[in-house]
This record gives sequence, C-alpha cells and structure tokens, in this order.
Amino acid sequence: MATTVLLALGGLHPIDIEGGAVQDYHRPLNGEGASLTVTLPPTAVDFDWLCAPPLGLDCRVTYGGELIMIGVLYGVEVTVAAVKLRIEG
Amino acid sequence: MRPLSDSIPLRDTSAWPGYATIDIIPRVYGRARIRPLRYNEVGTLYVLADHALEGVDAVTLNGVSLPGWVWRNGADMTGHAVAFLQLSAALADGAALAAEVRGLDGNPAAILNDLYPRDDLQDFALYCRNAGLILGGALTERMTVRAALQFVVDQVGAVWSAGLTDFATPFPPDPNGPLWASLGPLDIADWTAKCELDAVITRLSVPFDWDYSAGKARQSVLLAAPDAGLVHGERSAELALPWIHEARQAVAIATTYLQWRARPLWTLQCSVSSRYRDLPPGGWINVAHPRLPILSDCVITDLDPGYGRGVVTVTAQAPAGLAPAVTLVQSATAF
Repeated sequence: MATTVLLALGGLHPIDIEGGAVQDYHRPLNGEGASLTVTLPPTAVDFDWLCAPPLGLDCRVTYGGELIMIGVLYGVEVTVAAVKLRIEG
Repeated sequence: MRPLSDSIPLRDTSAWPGYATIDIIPRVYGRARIRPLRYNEVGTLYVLADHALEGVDAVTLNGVSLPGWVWRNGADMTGHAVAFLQLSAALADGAALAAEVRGLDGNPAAILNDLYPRDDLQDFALYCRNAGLILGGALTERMTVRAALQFVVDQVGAVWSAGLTDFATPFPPDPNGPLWASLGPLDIADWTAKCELDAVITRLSVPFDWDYSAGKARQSVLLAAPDAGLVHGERSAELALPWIHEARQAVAIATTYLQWRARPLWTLQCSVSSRYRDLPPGGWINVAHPRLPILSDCVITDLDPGYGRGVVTVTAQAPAGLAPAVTLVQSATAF
C-alpha cells in the first residue's frame, strides 16, 4: 500500500506538497484527531513560500490515497534538517 | 531593592479603625476618574488617594456635577498621607460619587521608577516626553511588581528588561537602531524557527480611557489589517489601554501593535558562542542561513547566557513580509 503523504494547500495559488511523514495524528473514541504534523525534507518546500507562510490557509492531508484531515495550516517549524507543517482541523 | 515577585505596597481601608467596605486605597498617576472611599461614618469625608494629589478638577454625583465640595491633602488616622474630599452633606446610600483627580507624575518612566526605583530611566523618560506619552490611571488591585511594570509598559507599546541598558524601550525598537550582531551559518547551531497561526492578529479591539468609578472604558476603537485578513482569516484580539486617554494615542499605539502581529511571526531559537553573552534583549540582530526563512533583522526577546555551559541561547522574533496596512474601522464612546 502506498504511504505517500499529500498536502494540498488551497487559496489563490493552490500547491501540493508530496512526501514526508505524518506524526501526532490519532483517532480517539468520541472525537476526531484535531491536529497532525507533516515532517518534510528541507528541499520539499519552496523557500520563498516558507519566508511568508500563508498561515490559516485551508489544507487537505491525504495518506496513502486516503483523506485523513481537512483543516488549516496552523504552524510552520523549520530546522536545518527538516520542515514541519502543523495542520489543525 | 524590592524583588519583582513582591506585591506592590497598596493599603486598603481596613487600615482605618472604621470602614464602609474593604477597598484598595488607590495610587493615582496622571489624570484619572476614580471612586472616592468613605472615610467617616457620617459620610461627609472621603479619601481620594493614598498619597497627596496635585489637584481635583471635578466631582459628580450620579453623573451630575456636585457643588459645595472641598479637597485637601492631609494625614489619615494612621498618620499616612492621603487626599481628602469634604462634602457639604452626606449622600444617600448607593449614590455614585466620582472625582476627576490629578495624581503622581504620569510619565511612564516616572511610574516605573515609582514602582521599582532605578537610575537608568532617563532615556525612556525623554522618549515618552517627546512622544507626548502621558498615562493617567489608578492602581486599585493587588499585583506583583513584575505585573505592574508589564502593565505600565503595555500601555505605551514598550517592553522592559533588566538586561536592557535603559531598562525600558519602545517595541518594536527603532528600525534604524544599532545592529548588535550579524550571525552567519557558522555562528549558529541547533536552530529552529517557528511561527503559528494563533499569534496572528488581523482585527484589534482597543478599549481605553478607563473610568475607575464606573469600572469601564469610556472609549474604544477597532482597527483591522484587511489584506492580512484575506490571507490568514479574521483573527480578533483585544488590546486594553486603560491609562491612555486620547484616541490619537490609542490608535497610534494599537497600529504599531497590529502591524507587527498581522503577519506570521517567526520565533528563532539558536545557540551561539559565549562571546555573544552581552547581547541585549530588545536589540536587533541579523541571522543568515541558507535554510532559515527569515530575511529581515530580528529582535532579541530572550537570552540565556548559559553560565557554566559555554554556549548562549538566543531567542529572537521577526515578522514575515512587509508591514500590512492598518485601517481604523470604528471608534465608539461609552454611554
């Protein structure tokens, strides 16, 4: 089964970001997973896009072809080794 | 030197042998509208402040100007300096008495010095005087010295730190101010840069000009950054400026506040050499790294000198993109 993570960001200039790993996502009883983090290699995201990240932009996260979250881009964390995008639903 | 975690020394009416209710006896700075506290059982003598006042400009009863009053500075039964208000006749129960008074120096630097005596506030005093920043309000709640200092600087869009050479400075600092360090890729280690949506504000409600007798703001303005709202959504917040009395000043302070926050705010944390131990909080630094998405100078918001570890941890903040346009959506007056 394919385990590709696809992050589809909306807005006036929709972009898709593929690859990386999903973390902090779970499906509790009596609730939905409210947030997740997608960790990507630094080169997976356009640098100019990172310089002014469109926080609040609507976002759909797909894992292995299955839609797992519809939310907004809530946070961005950048280190020398990775870019982490936090999505909240 | 009083510790910052100490409470500011405010007396309450239980210091007197008799009282109507237990209330904090206010400490008044600048011009303020306050509720006098009944001093004698008959109800003809009231206390306005827990110190001498410069003057009393008006006294009202249920919103209507009251004649026949006299004020004076004196000493209460414990020998403590207070300001008295003498009425010609006792008031009915439940009557709303209010007084417009002039108290201690309203320059924010003078207020900081009153709360936490220091000898390095001259520059901040000069900045406030030149900018016409005069506060007017009353301390009527118990709080720590730290909380009181923060409350005062928040009113004028400033920050304070024991690590600052002038103790207090406007925020953001002057963009033409000195650049304290330029750090390249080899100067920083273990760095992270974060920004989050909950720090973005695109709509700001600003209640100001507090009436301490009525317990509410007499004026308010509503500001917005419409272009930022289109990108990040409508994200509302409140900035209370109870000791600001002029709408022009409230709008100016709130505009600067909103321009800084109506865009993603990067928080950078990195480790640097111990030779940067003396970088001042509130100072500008420039940090460059091919993978760091911060293109502008950053303001140092925290510095851990790392004594015994040989490495300094710097936390700095920089907004992403250009300052957005801010518009005045509405101004309102309480009735």
